[in-house]
Amino acid sequence: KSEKSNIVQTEFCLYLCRSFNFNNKFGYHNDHTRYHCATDPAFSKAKKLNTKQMGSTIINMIHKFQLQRNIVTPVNGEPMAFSALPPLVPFLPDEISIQILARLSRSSHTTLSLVSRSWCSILRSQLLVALRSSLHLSSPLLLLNVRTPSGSSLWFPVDPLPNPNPNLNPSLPSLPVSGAATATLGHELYLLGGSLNGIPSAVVQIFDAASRRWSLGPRMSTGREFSAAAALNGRIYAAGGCTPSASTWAEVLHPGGGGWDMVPSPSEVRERWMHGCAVIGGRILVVVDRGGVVFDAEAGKWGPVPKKLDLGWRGRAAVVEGLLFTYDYLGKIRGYDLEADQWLTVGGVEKGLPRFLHGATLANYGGLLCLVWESRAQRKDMEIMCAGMRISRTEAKGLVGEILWKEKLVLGVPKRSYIAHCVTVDL
Amino acid sequence: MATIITKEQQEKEKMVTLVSSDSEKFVVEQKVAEKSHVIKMVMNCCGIESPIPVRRVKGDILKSILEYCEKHSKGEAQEVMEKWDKEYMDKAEKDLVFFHDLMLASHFLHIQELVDLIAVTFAGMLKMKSPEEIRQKFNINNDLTKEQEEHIMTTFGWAFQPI
Repeated sequence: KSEKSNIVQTEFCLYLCRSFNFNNKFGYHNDHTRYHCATDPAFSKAKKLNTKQMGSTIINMIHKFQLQRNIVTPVNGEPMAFSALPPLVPFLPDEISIQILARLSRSSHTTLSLVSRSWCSILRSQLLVALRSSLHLSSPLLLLNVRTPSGSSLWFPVDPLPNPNPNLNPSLPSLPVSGAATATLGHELYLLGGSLNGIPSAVVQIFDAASRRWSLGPRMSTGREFSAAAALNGRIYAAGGCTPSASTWAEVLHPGGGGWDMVPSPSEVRERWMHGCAVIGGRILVVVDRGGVVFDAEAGKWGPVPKKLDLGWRGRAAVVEGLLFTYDYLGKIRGYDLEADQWLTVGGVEKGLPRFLHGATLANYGGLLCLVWESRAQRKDMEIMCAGMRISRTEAKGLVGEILWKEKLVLGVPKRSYIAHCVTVDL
Repeated sequence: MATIITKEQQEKEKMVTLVSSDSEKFVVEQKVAEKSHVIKMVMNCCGIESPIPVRRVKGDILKSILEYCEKHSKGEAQEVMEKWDKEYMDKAEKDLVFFHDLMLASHFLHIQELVDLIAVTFAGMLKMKSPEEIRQKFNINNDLTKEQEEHIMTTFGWAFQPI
């Protein structure tokens, strides 16, 4: 008899392990499941039941959770519940098919999306992004913001490899802000504030690169334009761009349901217009017209930027391998080492790059330094060049760059447009 | 003498019996069975004295899976393992029904390394295929309308190209 009860228990355990593995596999609905488990009255009742009854109760609960697993992703603009679609592959459970699809490179997603509605839906879902990210299979995607002479702000997702030419249907944020600050977290771009009809706005617009859709996030406590924005430790920081007397001069957003919290700041560091912002090793660096501030997020402390950094930083910058890259007054790329407080020139790239890189935008493209600049070709359209280079240190304490690719982007935007932002998201 | 018996007992204790859906019995070392996260949890909560039924997995599949687990519990050099994995997959891939059952079983038993290996192999089958070829291979119905296809092309992708 005891052996029989042992088998019942074992089977029940197998089921339980299996089911919970399924529910916990994707961090995506972890909290959701946990929350429902804890609040469901059946859960507390189950504790008092014997093994068999407990088994069926828990099985019922798990079925309930699986039904709640609605992946709502848009096909042709209409939201659609994934659970209402046929399985991805007829003879396989979806959770296995997803495992397979996650292994295919992002460049194949367009082709794969054309297989069926369920394939299209899953390929744009948060679930697949989360799974790819947990398998360390995410790859960078450039988001290029071009402002046209007529004042419209267009966002182009650009994949320089394998195909540098994005389709010509750019994405437009729902509110046409100018002078907004950007920060990226995972596959999402946060567009903070900016002026709307000439008034600094507190609006937060979020672009989901997986679904290629914009949505509105929690509003900031104050309107901002030309502020600093940075993503650090899974949070989004915003500073400046508002009147320096405001106590909410700096604030932090906890994404995923949280709101903005004030970050205390001494009044002497509060400046209005921010010219550049970067994150190096847990510190946020911001430059203003003259000088700048460094914020140590862990200690919550503010301090001045090193003088050498302030003198050499022209606004647009990217941090790659712990070095801050920008161009000097001659239009040459340089890297700043914060620990050594030293500027280093980048050798080996003179032939591949234009002599003057003023106005170029820089981004960290999956560990490569990505440069985007406007070429001077005599064309009707604006022509943009994009190069990715690997930076390595030389023994003589200098830096050497190796251009791995250089591509021409034709975006179909008129001349006299300019690149306002160039950032990378992981997808 | 006494020490030897204890040693033998210890060895014996480390073995566990798994029973497949068609009642085939497999006696394996505990560390081999532990490769399956599910069986590991069962052993943790129920012990290893009584046989563990693996009701959803047939004998031939369980045999193949345990072969994989045994090889992977030895801690051999990475190159040796990679070569072995490749041969193991080449063999499994030949019979699609077997491959399919192996995938379901490794997922059910939560053997992450094997799930990864199979998913990568399966993904390889989809490479360089057009949507139509994929639909044919896996008997998928195309339920996208012309407008939806166009929408995908214009918002999602760049120029159409095979994977």
